[in-house]
Amino acid sequence: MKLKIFFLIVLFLAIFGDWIANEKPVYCQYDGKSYFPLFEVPFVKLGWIDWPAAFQNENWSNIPYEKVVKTLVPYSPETIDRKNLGLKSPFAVQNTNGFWDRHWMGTDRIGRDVLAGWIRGFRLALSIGFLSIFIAGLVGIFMGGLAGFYGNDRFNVPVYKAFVLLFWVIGFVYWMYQGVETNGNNLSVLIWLGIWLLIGALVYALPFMGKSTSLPIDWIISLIIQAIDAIPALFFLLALLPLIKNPTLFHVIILIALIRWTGIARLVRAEFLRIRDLEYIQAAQLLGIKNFLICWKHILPNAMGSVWITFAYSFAGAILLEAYLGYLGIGMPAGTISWGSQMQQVRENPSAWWLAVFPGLAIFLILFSLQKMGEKLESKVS
Amino acid sequence: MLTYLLKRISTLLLSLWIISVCLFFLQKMATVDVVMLQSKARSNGSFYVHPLAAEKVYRAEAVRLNLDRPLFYFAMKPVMFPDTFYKVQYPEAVKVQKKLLLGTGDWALVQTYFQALTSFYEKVAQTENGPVSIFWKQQLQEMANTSDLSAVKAACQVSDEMREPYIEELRKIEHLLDQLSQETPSFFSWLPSPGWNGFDNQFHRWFSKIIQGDIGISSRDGRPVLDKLKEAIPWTLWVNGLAILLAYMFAMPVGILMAILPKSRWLHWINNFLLALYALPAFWVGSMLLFQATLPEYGFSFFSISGWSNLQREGGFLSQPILFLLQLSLPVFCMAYGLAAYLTSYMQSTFSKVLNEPYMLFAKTKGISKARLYFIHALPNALLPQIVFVAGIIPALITGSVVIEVIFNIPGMGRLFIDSMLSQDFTTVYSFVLLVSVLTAVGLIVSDVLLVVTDPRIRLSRENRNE
Repeated sequence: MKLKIFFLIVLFLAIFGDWIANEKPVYCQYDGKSYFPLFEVPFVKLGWIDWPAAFQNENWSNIPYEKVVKTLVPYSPETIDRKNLGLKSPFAVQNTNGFWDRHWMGTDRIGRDVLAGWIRGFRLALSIGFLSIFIAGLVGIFMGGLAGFYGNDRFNVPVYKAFVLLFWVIGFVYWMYQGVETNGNNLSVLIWLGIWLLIGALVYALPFMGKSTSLPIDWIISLIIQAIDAIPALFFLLALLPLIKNPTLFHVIILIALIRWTGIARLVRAEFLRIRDLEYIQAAQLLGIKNFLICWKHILPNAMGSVWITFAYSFAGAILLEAYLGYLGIGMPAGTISWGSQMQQVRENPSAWWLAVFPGLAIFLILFSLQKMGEKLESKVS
Repeated sequence: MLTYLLKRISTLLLSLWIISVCLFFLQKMATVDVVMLQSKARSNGSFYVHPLAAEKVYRAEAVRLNLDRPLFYFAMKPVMFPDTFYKVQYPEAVKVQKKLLLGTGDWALVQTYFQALTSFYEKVAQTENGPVSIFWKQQLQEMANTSDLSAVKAACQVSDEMREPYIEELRKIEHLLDQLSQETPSFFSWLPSPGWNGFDNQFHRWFSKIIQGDIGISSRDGRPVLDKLKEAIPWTLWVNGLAILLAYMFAMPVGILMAILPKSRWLHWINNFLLALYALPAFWVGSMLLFQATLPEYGFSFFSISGWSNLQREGGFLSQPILFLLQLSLPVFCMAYGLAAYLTSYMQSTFSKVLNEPYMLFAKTKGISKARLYFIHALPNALLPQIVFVAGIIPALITGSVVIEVIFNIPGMGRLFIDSMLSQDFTTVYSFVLLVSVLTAVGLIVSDVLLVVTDPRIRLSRENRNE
């Protein structure tokens, strides 16, 4: 129950963080007219609402409003408060207009409000966690299910068909590559790609006589998992990042997913291996239900119980990885404000404890509650 | 047993080979051009030559670095590409020639065209510097850098005065341009032609060198990567080893005590505390400790923030080890507490699982003393999973120690990795990843084999399942 409330608060901060900490006031009266600057940004961009020239100015705190209702934290994460430059402690005397404008968590070296950045950190951590685990979950369940359900001896393919399939896949990759190389402008390449797809459809449709052999699909997937698991996560991430010229958040998410799917796949594989030998699955197979339906409707729901546990742990791992990246200052897009990047500043100014304490506390609380949730799920499953 | 071992090792070798192939291509795809870097270093920081003369310089450097070879054992290219396409080395030239080839489909013609341009440039370069030759040098630079044929043609059509001295070359080039613009690649020239490059390729050279222990030279300072690693590895081993040792020394007694003592509300709170300790990010604790260490009034004066290298000069023969251990104390603590917390609850759960086994009940009814019961009968069985566990978390430990080393300024592997990363020394970075993954893979397999050796039940079930 307490956990649920905590997660709801975190989710709320992540979704509505930009409305809680923003330099634009909720309501203001300026030059005799009323404005809601916090909510009007998209309409101003569309040209539906006109703002006075003073609002175009970057500094919202200096505008002489007639009436004003500010947000809870009247600073955006990027706002530079020139009056409080150079690491103002939360307890120090701050040069602000009033009680409401105080920097409750202090400021960093260039005068940005730590609390505003801290709130932004929730959104970053949660979006990286959710999206990367979602992608990792899709890949992991697919690969693990494939390996676990078919094993080494059940993925039966006719020998000829297997060879043709291999050849076809190589060819397909080749034609796609050529298409990308020529930006899809080359008619010959497009025609060849079409021919290739036709051949694939024909091969799929034609009946093939001949002996069936089992493709050791479990072995192949386990090999890939073993290879990825042999590389420590942070090294893997840092080795892939230099390939990207201008890394964005999306790249980081994909890369984290690329690392995290193996843990999920291993567990799904083990669960599928266990469940596929249970009697009700054999009964379903005897009834002639398609393999895909058996996996989707009968095995997966049964396996999901323990998969949710790895999701919780992987989520924690993803958030920690993101914090590492921010802390080391590598790979995250320049100017991203995250808990890690706030803590990074402590390395140059060890005396600025507020830059370490608050972001670290947030990471700790999230990790702790995720672990706790994992533990609870575990006791539920067993 | 032997077949299991052989199977395990063969899959391990295969997966390591796959990793090395991936790392090799990643290294090639990384955005830094090693050849260019070296050429710049040799010519004191500047690599500006005319694009038509650059090819020669660039290729000479590539030959010196053994990079004038095909990348891999085989390649698949459209039929119109020659087998020797990799011999064009200068990146700009590769780009332009590839585009021309894709547009015309006639490699011989593209080659003749480029040779005509080069010989024209050589003739211009031989004549004395005058307005005409300087003009043509500039024109040629544009002509060599574009694959747009009409632009080249427009660059040739200038006033007769300028054309007069080089009229022969210009006519030849214009003739070739006409030929080029008439040709288009035929429909069938897009068919793939798989080609076997033989063993004299870049990957083969790189891989065989690594097997022989030569993992390359840092592209930043020219030192062998192995030397750098040799300096760094002891530090990481010390930190991680001490942390594992400390964690076990804490976890064993506490975990066993928690399993033996009767269940109470205290146990619940201790469990929660351990979970919190495990969730506490080490780099957070580390940076807070570092903050404490800067203030002498907290009693952390034994710790030097500037790192070990400054301490090395102070202190005598006897005080050195003490200083060394004191210097490691904070990072080791940061590494150890989370591990200790996890191991404690793990120890507790395995130990209480063993206590519930039927044979324990049997031993109890036989009237064996409690000490004998716990330490002779229960402990060995509970220890087994613990041994295996350590090998499993080595990757996570190494990841964690990267950040700890950066925080506490320890010249270990993690610091080296981050430093080479920041200075874009990708030779070090990728050899490094390969080495670390070999170490972890071997660690995993050793633990697995240990487990199978010590517990015949596992072996049987695995052999039955054909894993």
